[in-house]
Amino acid sequence: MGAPEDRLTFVSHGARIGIRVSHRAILHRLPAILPPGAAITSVEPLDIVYTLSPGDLYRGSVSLSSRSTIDEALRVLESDLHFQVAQHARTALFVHAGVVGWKGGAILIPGRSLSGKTSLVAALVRAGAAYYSDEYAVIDRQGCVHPYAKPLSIRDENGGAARVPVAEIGGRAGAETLRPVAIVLANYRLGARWRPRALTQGQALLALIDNTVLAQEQPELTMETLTRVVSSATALQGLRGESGPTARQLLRWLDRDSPSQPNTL
Amino acid sequence: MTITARTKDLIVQSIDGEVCVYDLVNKKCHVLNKTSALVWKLCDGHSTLEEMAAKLEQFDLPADRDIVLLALDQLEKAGLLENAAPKLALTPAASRRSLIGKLGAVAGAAALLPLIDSIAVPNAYAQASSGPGFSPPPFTTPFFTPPPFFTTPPFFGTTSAP
Repeated sequence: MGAPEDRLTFVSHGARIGIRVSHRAILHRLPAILPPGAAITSVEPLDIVYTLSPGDLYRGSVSLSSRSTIDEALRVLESDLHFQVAQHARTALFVHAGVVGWKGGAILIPGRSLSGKTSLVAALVRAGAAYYSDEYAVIDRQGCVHPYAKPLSIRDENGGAARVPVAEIGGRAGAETLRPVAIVLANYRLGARWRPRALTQGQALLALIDNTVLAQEQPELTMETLTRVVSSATALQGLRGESGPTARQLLRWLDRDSPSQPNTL
Repeated sequence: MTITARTKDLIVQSIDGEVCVYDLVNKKCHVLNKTSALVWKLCDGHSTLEEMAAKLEQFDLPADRDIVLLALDQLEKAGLLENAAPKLALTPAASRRSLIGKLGAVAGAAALLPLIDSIAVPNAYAQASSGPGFSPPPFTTPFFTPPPFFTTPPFFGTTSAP
């Protein structure tokens, strides 16, 4: 049996994950890459076990990275951890969406990768919104959104992405659980002006299902949870131009025109 | 002609007048607007097309058989009618476009015409991020060679460790 010091186990949103390492020096670097809200604890059985050495990273028997530096392997591990938590979460539904908090309500920005979620989230945070996530809306059975404030993945012009703590862009992470007040489907197009159309609750539900990680595996939970989300929120869809003006326009609209009443739980 | 709505292997949720249907077999989700939802509800195996059309008046639509036929055509394409339902041949006059023209004088009629929005429910890997360090859905290593420190038995209580 290996020594307990050679491994780390944690629970995040009910997902039970273990990482075992070949060298103890690596162990000390793991807490920095764990998903938000992860509690390091001894737990069994595990949903997922990673094995990490300076050259290789495995999830179970699946090779995720080979002949890589430890920094590269840790980057792959961090990214994969988020997705595995989303897949094995027991206490919440994970929807691929950016989330910010604004005056006691949550704004959800569903979308796949490269749809411009992070840039809009960052612009909203710079405009004063609280940061909740640039990747996953973590939604409980009551339809409320929990923080998942991982570092933002801000892309550069070359297609790379850097991990940027929210404080570095002058923002703050939200801590409260929030009721969704707006669902914003905003695809970037150069030169576009944000003139959204309102979606019905049913259309908003489809948009959320289309971005829900376990929509196929947990259909009842998905329908029940997301119906609660759309019943408390106004949904908008449209093309947007630069994120800064769109963010300010969105927040002005929420302050003045949104029929939903923000509600902190 | 009578038609029966499919009820098996569906999760049905009413939301603000619309009906959202999760098809567990075909892994699809549909949102039926008020008119489509009403016609679907009336597919009880007894109501005739004329009886269904008469019920449209509650939405301020004319009791037009073509509107019912359009709804049934959409419902059938979405897989929400029983297989035993007769094939519905829409007359050219019953396309959505032609009905909008036909009902042009009725205020808001276009918005009330039958409409079903559908998506294929994505699987989990469709949601995978391509953020920093992301690797695409992995393949099981065909010739897996354990790293040297795997030579000791796994110390986790799981069967998934190499």
